Formats: sequence, structure tokens, C-alpha cells
Amino acid sequence: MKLILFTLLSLTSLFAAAQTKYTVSGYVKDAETGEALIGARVFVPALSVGAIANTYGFYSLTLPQGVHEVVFSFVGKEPSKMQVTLDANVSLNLELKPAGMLSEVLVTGEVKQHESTEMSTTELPMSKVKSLPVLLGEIDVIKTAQLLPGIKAGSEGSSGIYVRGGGPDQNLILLDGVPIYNANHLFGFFSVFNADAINNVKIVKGGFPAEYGGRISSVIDIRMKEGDMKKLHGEGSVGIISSKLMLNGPIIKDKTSFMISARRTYIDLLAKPFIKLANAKNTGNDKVTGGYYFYDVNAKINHIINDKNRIYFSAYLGDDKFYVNSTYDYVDNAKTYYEESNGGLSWGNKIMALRWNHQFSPKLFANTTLNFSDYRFKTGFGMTVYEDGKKDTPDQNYSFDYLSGITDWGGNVHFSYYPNPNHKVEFGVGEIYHTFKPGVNQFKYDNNGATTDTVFGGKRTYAHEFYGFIQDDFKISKRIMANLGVHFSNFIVRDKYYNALQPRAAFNFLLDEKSSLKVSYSHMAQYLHLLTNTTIGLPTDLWVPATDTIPFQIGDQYAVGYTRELKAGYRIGAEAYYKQMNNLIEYKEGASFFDTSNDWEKLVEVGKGYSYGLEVLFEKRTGKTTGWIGYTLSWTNRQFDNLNNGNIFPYRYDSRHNISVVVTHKFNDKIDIGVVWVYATGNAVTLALQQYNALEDQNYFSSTVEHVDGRNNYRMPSYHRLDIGVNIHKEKKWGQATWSFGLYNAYNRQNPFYLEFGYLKNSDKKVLKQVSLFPIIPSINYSFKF
Amino acid sequence: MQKVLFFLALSSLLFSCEKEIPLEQEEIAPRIVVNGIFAAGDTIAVNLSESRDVLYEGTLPNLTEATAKLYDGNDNFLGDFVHESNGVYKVPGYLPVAGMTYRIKVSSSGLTDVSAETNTPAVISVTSVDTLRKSDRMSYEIKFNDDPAVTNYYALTLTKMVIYVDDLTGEVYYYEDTYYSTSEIFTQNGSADVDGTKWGSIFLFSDASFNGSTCSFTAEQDIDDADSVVVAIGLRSVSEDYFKYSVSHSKYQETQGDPFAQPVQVYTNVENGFGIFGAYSAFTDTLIIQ
Repeated sequence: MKLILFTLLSLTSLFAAAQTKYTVSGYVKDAETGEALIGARVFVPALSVGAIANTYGFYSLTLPQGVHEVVFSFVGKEPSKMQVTLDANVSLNLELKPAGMLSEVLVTGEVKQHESTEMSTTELPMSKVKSLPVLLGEIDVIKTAQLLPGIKAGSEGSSGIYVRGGGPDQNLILLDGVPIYNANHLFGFFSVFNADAINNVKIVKGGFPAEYGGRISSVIDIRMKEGDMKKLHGEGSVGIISSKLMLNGPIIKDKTSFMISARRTYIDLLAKPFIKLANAKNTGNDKVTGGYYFYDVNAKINHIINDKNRIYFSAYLGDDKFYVNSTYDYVDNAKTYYEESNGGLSWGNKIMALRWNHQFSPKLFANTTLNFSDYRFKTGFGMTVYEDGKKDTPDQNYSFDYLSGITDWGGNVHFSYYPNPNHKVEFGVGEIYHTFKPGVNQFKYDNNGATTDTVFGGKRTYAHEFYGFIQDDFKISKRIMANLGVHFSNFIVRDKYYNALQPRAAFNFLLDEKSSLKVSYSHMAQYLHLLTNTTIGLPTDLWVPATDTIPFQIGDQYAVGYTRELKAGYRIGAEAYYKQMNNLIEYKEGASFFDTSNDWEKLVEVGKGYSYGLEVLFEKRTGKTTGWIGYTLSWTNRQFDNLNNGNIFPYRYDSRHNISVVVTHKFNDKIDIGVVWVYATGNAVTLALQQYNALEDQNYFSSTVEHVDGRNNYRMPSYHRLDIGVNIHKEKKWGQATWSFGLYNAYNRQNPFYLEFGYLKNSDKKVLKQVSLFPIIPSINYSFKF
Repeated sequence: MQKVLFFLALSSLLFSCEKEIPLEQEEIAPRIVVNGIFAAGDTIAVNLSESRDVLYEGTLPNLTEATAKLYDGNDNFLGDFVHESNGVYKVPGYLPVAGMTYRIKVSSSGLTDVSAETNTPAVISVTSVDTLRKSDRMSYEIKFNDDPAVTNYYALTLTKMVIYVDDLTGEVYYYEDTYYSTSEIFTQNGSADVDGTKWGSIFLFSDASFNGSTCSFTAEQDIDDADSVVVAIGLRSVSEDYFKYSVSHSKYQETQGDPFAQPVQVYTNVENGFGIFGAYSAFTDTLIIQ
């Protein structure tokens, strides 16, 4: 820590260099749409200095007085050279035009990985996300992220994210800077992110900059499209399970733009006639209906007030609903009675963010955000019994509801200060006010006028989380760069005050013009836990805070990496990491989600986790054929004093080998294909393998015990799958139409979803059964844009 | 809720399929199972049987021709177990005493030898029992002094014998009853149901919350309108093995059939085998309530 502070202080002396300098600053935008080009490169070749546009497209570069040739570039755009005369500070906004075919030259617009202090970080191009085959043709950024080394999918088809041995709660998933707590639709098979609404996805697995806090395993920073400032555009698609539409365009040209997108599934609508038919054929007294759907809406407005001020408002609203209704009629004492019952699950997120960008000076940029995030889950069932014609005065009426959720109100101010080309200093403060609603039960019972109405279960918990951070990304010498920082977070819950000083450090040693060695260390704190005992990211998972009895999570990660740019757009990178996680929680032995009589704190054990491994990523980034091969070798374990007799046991998603091969090939402007093959060692599950007689109890009754040798003692068979997709594009007068054909699990591998002992159909032999979810699944999708 | 879960399961069947896969385990060979809890002063009896893999669906066989020997903590031979019937073996002519360590060694043809060790803790006496009649329940406050030198584990029984005499026939009816615990030490350290239920015929707890001091355990029983009510209070000082086995086995039974429950590992102290070889020393007192 002392070393970091010393370095920060000593480097600030560099800022005061006595030479006449001026700053060129402004925004880099897309010439076609006017949207910010996040990560665009601004470079002065003669001085070998440059800057990178931030999340809002803002850059700032301080140079000596004089005339400079400045090159602006971005992947997929024509670079632009500008002569800039600096005898005063200059404000320069630039728009880059699109290039034709993606060529090697154009990739120079991208920030070279080996030139940056960032490590364990990947940006997912949305073009790549959209060109890959996916389950049921439903394009999903999270599913594409799962193809990267170090990121595991969890169960078959799931949108869960397990980064470097961490749990699903340890990922800070940000949509326009606002945390999303449950990023799943359809019980985890799809993520909530509609690809049409997304501009940029950045995933950080380690070497965390100090600006990030609150989670210990990863940051998934997703930015929505801002909306075209020039003219109205739209995109849409019709698929097997859902359709979507996105519109964006100017409200006031070059001043105010909007983006709105919506998606809805129609499984429920398609199933309706079949359910009706089944009920018509049913000769019994019972009729059953049911359905499932999800929808989501993304919206954003951005408004340029003037050169120095800009505001954004973004919102997301999404819901999943699963419902079952049934009616049963019977006759009793010559009277007809109806029994109506209903049940269901619903869950969803609402988020809103209001941001204000302000440029205090050419060197100082600020972003202020106010945000709201709400996740809620509800399940319930009810029944009404009434006599024919007396529905308003039922004989019996009862309902049970189980509600849980988390609501955040937050605000933060982040500053970016660019004193000279060698330094980029960022600092800021923020506060989140959490309201946790962990498992509240409502029971109502009305029997001929006698009413019972009770509420029981977990109590609401309120907490304040506030933080400050400072970091400097700077050059120590021509070949050594560093990003040093510190994040200080605080948490107040039930009169208990926690704090954590979290140093972060990353160094980049340029070995030559094309390769570098990077090392990093991150200390992370997380004041939230996710209480889960399912394997597929069900919405029943409870977000709970650290409390006076349950401590907060702590993560320490060390990583070392090597990256090298090769010829013809190839790149190879390898990273080794070691991560220790403290104060993880797990349910106690025998505890259950349905155990509503105990407070959650009494149902959990606190323990540790360890993860280490090696990740290799070989990429081809240019040409007609692009893609990557990723390999991860890893070990992930857990240790809890009161679980597994205190012995270390493998994490459920401990997986020794993971391989992903991702290839896209563009034959011409009309046809491209995508091929994905993945392999993973089977997940670890707990299975009792032996049975024996238990001791007779006091009543001389003897039962059988199925012996569990250890937690997660058994390996599922390995997982592998091939997906193939073809996209056929056709230019139309109004824009472009694309037909996408896909085959998920092309060679029909029966991958394990779960294992159990039981009987197969028409067999009386007890066996170990593997249940698989998805066989070969074809998909077809029609999409358009104008 | 059941319908919701049913529909969820049904939905998953739209795509799911199942198949048999081989049980990959280097060797799931049968092992010797030892089951025996004995009390200081009583004959030691154990049941010996064989385990099978979980796919086996027959009756688990008892061992009737095993060789079992009893040793003390210094490996001095104390006696042979003799088979009586149905896999039950006893050591004739030997009565265990409190404060001793005992080891059983068992061998049987074709099976790996096993052994298990336990100890008989010293007897802890109840120092006082206070009763308090509430509206429809009798409350008992049972006190005893814990030994600070060792970690103690206790099992408390409160057996109520209710006797009715039929005035006409003179026949006597009786039954025993469970009791309720209201004691925090039980809920913190004992075999509390995971759903919070606190009733049963025997409760276990450790001295973690009162080590070296006087323990005050409170319990309640329903009051009966009977001819005679006698309550037997039993304080067992149990071995650590007995405690761990009972707590884990109790939890195991409670969670059977709940697919959302976390798996429970039942404790065993049998090396190379399964089961429990445990011991206790008992103190008993009888109260005539009416």
C-alpha cells in the first residue's frame, strides 16, 4: 500500500513539468450515426504519444505548443489524419467514416492489447456476437462471453457466468453503469440483454482498475446504443421463440437522439390452441391452462446541451411470467361447486440511469450518474372454492405468496483527468442505498368469513454502500506502464460498519514492438451474497447483504500474462492466475429453499474458495476468416469448516479443461457462416454411491442411509457441442434483410444436465440416469435493418 | 406450488431426454457396517451388516459369520463378540465402565477389515429439577454441572408415562410421550430440525455455550388428566461419535425426499466401513407428577 501511495505521489510531480503545452480534446463519433466511438485511438506518430476515447467518446491529449499531425482511428473505420495547430487549447470533435471490408490496416485503429495496462480484459464486438450460431437463434452477448477462456457457462444452455472459479453473484453486470441483479430470462436459458440495443460489451476478469468495486470476480460492462443523431434507423427480427424491434434516430438532428428496443417471446400464444384442444378432448371435470413469456424493453435518450454538457437517460424494463390456472367442478349435496386454482412465478428487473457528462476543462471530464435498480421475484398459488353462481362469496379462498427482491438507489461522480499524454488519472465517489427483501411469505385464508392474513419470513434489511477511488494509468518509461489505484468501500448494515481498502496494481512490460508481459494484483470486497441451492440460476436465488453475523466477501487475485501480436492479424495471449475468496456462503447441510421458518442467516455456513489456472487465447482478427481458440486449465475448490467434514471439496463448476473454437467466415457480402465447438470437463455433483443399514432407533426401526463420500464427489460426463450457423444477407431498397439458419448441437450430443438414480421408461432396473436438455435444435431467424 | 413445479418439470420435458450411464467408480465394493451404541454398565451389542452400491435393490445382508473383537484404548483384548441372531453380536461377560476407551475390530471373508473407537464419558448427574405448571403444560428446568476439562456432549430424555385405570375392568393403559424443548442450547448446538421444529423424545447438545458452568435446560410436556403420571428424566453423557452420528442422521432423515435440500453426509467413525460405534453413560431420575 505504501508503495502505491509513494508511486502515486512521486508521479504527480511529473505533472508540473515546465513546458508550454496545450490540450486538444473533444469527442470521436461515428460519421454515420453520430454515436460515440468507445475506445477510439487518438495518436501523434511524431511524438509516439496518444490517448484513448472513454466510454462517452471523449478524449484529451496534451501536447507541446506547435503543429501536430494527429491520427484518429477506430476498428472498422477509415482513419483520419488532422493537422492541429496548438497555440491554445483546441476543442476538436471528429467523425470517422466506415471502411469497406475489414482489413488488416483497419485493425490498427484498435488499441493494441500489448500496449495497454489492461489485462484479463476482453471487448466483445457486437458484429461477432451477431454472426455466431446460438440456441434457438436467440442472439445473446452472455452466451458469446461464455466462449472466452476463464468464463464458464454453468449448466447446459444456461446464461450463468462463472469467472475464474467465482460464483454467479460475484459478477458486476452493469447496463449503462447500473447493476443488474438477475440477468436471466427463461430460467437462465437466455440473458436479459437484447443484442440489438447494445453498443459495446467489456468483460474484466482480473487486474481490476480501481474504478470498479462491489464484486470480486468480474465486471461485465454493457453499454446501450445511444441512438443515431443523423437519421432514423431500425432493426428487427422474427425468430422461433421471440421477435424484436429496435428503432433509433434523431429527435433533434445532431442534438438529441433516442433508441428504443423491445422483445417478446410467444411460446404462450403458440401453445394456446394446443392447450384448448387438450382441454376439449379432456372428458374429466378439470381444465388446465398455462403459459410462459418474457419481454424486455430498452430505451435511451441522449441530448447534447452544448460542447461541454451532455445528458443521457436510459432505462430497461423486463419481466418473465410463468402461470398455471386450473378449474375443477364437482357436485356435493346436489349443488355444483367450482374449485379454481392458480399458481405461477414472475420475476423481472427495472433499471434507470440519468447521466450528465460535463467537461470542466480540456483536461478534466466528469460523469455524474443517478441510478435506480430493482429486482423482484414472486411465486404464489391460490385456490377458491365456490358454489355455482356464488363466485363473489366463496366458501373457501386461500393464497400463498413468496416475495423477494432487492432495490437500489444510487449516485456517483467520476472524474477523468488528463494532465499529460503519460498520465490518465481517474477518481470519484459513489453511494448505493440497498433495500433487501429476502423471502417474505404472505398467507391469506378465508373460510366462510373467518379470515387469516399473516406475513412471515425474512425481514427487510437496509444498507448503505459508499466508496471512493483514485487510479492513475501512466507510463513509467518507454517500455513500462502501470495502472495503480485504490478503491475504498464502506458498508453500513444494522448498525454494523464494514470497510475495505482495496489496492489495485497492474504493470505492463513491453518486451518488444509486438509483445508484452503483464502482471496484476487486485484486492476486492463484496458486501452482497447470493443464496442459491439450485444449479440453473433460478429466480428463487436470494440476494442478501453482509450482516452483523455474516461477513462480506473478499477476493484477492494475482495474474501474470503474456501477449504477442503475430503476422496477418493473429494474436496469442496466455494468462495464469491465482484467486482466493474469503467469506463465501453456502447453505448448511440439509437446508432447503423451502425452509421459510428460519431466517436465512441461520441456514448458511461461511467458508473459503480457491481457484487457479492457465488461460490461452489464440485469435485471428482480420481477413475473411476470423475467430479464436480458447483453452483453460483450472482448479476451483471450496472449504467450509462445517461442510464436508471441514475437508476441501471441488466447486460444482470446477472444470479441469475447457476448450472453445469459434470461427466465422465471410464468403462475400451476401453469405457468412459461424461455427462454434466447445468442450468442458464434466461438472462436479454430489452423489451417494453406497447404501447401508442405519442404527435402529428407539423404536427398533432400521432405515437405510445412502452414503455421500464427499461434496461434489462425482464427475458428470464431459460436455461438448458443435453449433453451425449461416447468415444470408440481401440488400433491399429499404435496407438489408438477413436470413439466419442455425443448428445448435449439430451432432446431437446428449450432454448432461443432471444425474440421478432411478428407472428408465419401461424398465424396472435401477440405473444412474443422465438427463439431457437440448438435442440437435435447428433455428431460423429473419432479421432486417434500415 | 406443486402445480408450478409440475409444469416446470413438464416444460423441461419438451426438450429433455434421459439415458443410462455407467456408474464410474473405481470400485464400489461392499464394506462392513458396524452399528452399536452401548451404555456403561450394559452389555455391548452391535449389529454387523454389509453395504451395497446404491443401485442394489435387495435387503442389505447381515453378517452372521464375522469375527469381531473388543479392545480397550491401549489395545488390550477384552473379549470376542458372539453372534446371537440377525447380525447382532454381543460380548458376553463384559460390562463396559465409564471413562474408558473401546475399540472394535471386525473382519469377514471377502471384505476389508474395519475398526472403530469410542469412549464412555463420565456420568454427569442432574443436580436439580424444578417444575412449573403452566396452563396446559408442565415446564421442567433441569440443571447439571458441566466438566470444564473436556468437551461434553449430552442427550436428554424426558419420558412421560401416563397411566389410566379403567374403573370397570381394572385394566391399565399407558403411553409415553415426546416433549418440547424451549432451550437455546439445544437449538444452537443440538439436533434441531432444519425447519425449526423442536420436539422429540431425545435432544442432543454440546457444552459449547456453557462449558464448565451449570447448564440449565428447559423442557415442556402437555399435561394429562390421568390417574398417574410419572416422568423419567435421563441425562446421557454421550461420546462425540454418538453425538455427531445422531445429529447428522436425524438431519438426513428429515430432508429425505426434498429435492431442494442440500445433501447431508451422515457421520461415521468406522474406518474402512460405515456405521457408528458409540457409547454413553446415563443418569436417570424419576418424578411422580400425579
